Amino acid sequence: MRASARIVARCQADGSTRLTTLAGEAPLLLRRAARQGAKQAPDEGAPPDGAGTGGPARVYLAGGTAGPLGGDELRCSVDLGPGARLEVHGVDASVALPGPHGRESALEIHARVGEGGALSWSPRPLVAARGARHRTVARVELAADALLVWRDELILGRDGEDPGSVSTRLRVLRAGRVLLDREVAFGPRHPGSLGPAGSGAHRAIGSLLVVDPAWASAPVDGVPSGSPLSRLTPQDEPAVAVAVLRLSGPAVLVTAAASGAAALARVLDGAI
Amino acid sequence: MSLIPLLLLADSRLPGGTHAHSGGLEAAVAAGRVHDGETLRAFLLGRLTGVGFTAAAFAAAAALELSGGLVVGERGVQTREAAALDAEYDARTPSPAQRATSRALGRHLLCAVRAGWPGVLLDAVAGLHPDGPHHPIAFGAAAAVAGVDPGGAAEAVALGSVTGPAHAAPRLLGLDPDAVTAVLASLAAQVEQVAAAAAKAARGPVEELPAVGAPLLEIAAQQVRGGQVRFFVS
Repeated sequence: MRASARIVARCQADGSTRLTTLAGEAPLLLRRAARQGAKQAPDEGAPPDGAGTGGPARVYLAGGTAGPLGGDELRCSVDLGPGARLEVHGVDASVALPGPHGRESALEIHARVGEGGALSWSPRPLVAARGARHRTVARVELAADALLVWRDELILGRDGEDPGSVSTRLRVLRAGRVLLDREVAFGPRHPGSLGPAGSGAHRAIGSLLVVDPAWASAPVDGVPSGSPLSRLTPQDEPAVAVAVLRLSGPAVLVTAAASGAAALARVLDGAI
Repeated sequence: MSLIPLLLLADSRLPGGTHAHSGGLEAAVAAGRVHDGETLRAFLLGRLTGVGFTAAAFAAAAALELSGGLVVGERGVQTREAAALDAEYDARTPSPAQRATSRALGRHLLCAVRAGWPGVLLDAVAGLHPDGPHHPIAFGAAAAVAGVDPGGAAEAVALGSVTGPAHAAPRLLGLDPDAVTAVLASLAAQVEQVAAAAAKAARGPVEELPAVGAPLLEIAAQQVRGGQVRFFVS
């Protein structure tokens, strides 16, 4: 199956963000979130999503079908104009499943955030079911003063099941220069990945990248104080392992591994 | 390619500072993830196919880029491509502790190699960053001046990604050195495969070079900095 989704968001004169394009198809269905204190906005001709609140527009990414299945080629593009603010949330975990011909499924995400824009990307976890082969590649281009929160969660197998194979690569450019390029890969097709240098005994692996240009002047070694990130306690325990990594730039990567999806979600929730 | 320069660069007695590092093994032992020969082998395999693959590809790319020498232009030696590789590797190393280790090892390696192969190229690469170039970039530059081809650089760095921690194992685990040799020998075919894939990737665009990391190594590396480790710097 081939499917694509596209979100375009623009900042209005009143500072609110309007979704000028919101087009998806299964398994990449997009749902506009109801505004707080307002009725469900109709899909067509909706008013500016953050009108009156100054808040970000909000979109839900819903699977609408099983998968991704082996052989699926999925594409998602997100384009935020200058000053536009968007939150993308998930509805349910997606489960990568093997396809009929043993082929790989692939999800390509391309996001651009203009000057003064802010993107928060926090879909639900991806579960790599036994026998699955899945690859996600995300490329994010940020203007120099754009904000980004990017969350990734991988669950290695459903309950009591051996994991499938899955990889996720996130490449982030800021003002045209590479800020982060990181792939994690797990499963039987990635030798050594389930061992003590890979996932160890953990079944849930996740990360949270926060890019905030306000940190450009902070010392490059530390985690900015006052941020929720500074409340996270680095640890390397059998139940939860987490580190807070300051990148060579105004960005912090929280990398975490936990015994299960709920424990991982708690760690990452605490970072925002 | 002559084999002798490659053996010299890959020699663990080359004073490049690697003997002070366990490549995250000490922290993995402290966390209870590695406790015997079998878990050591699994650790080394994960290190090889993750950070070892990435580092080997960058070493090969640097060797490829610098083997033709450097262009000396009006503003001095042109190191734009090497600087781009260093920046790309930096972006692939999110852990500040691992970045610091990599730059320190790059700096030490260049000090050692410059004694044998002095010249403008290694001076320029040493100046890429105040803390030193990342280790794979330094290794690629060393390979270029010593006449080691990119494939050889990939092999040496892929092998080094497992021999470093392996040589720390007798001290950390009380393992018989012969048992460690057996583990390393059992990984020889995988080292060759990873090096070949890395050398192939090195011929592609810089932004597409491998970026495989290992979450538990990153997490453990920060724990090291927290002061849990006694024997090794990393």
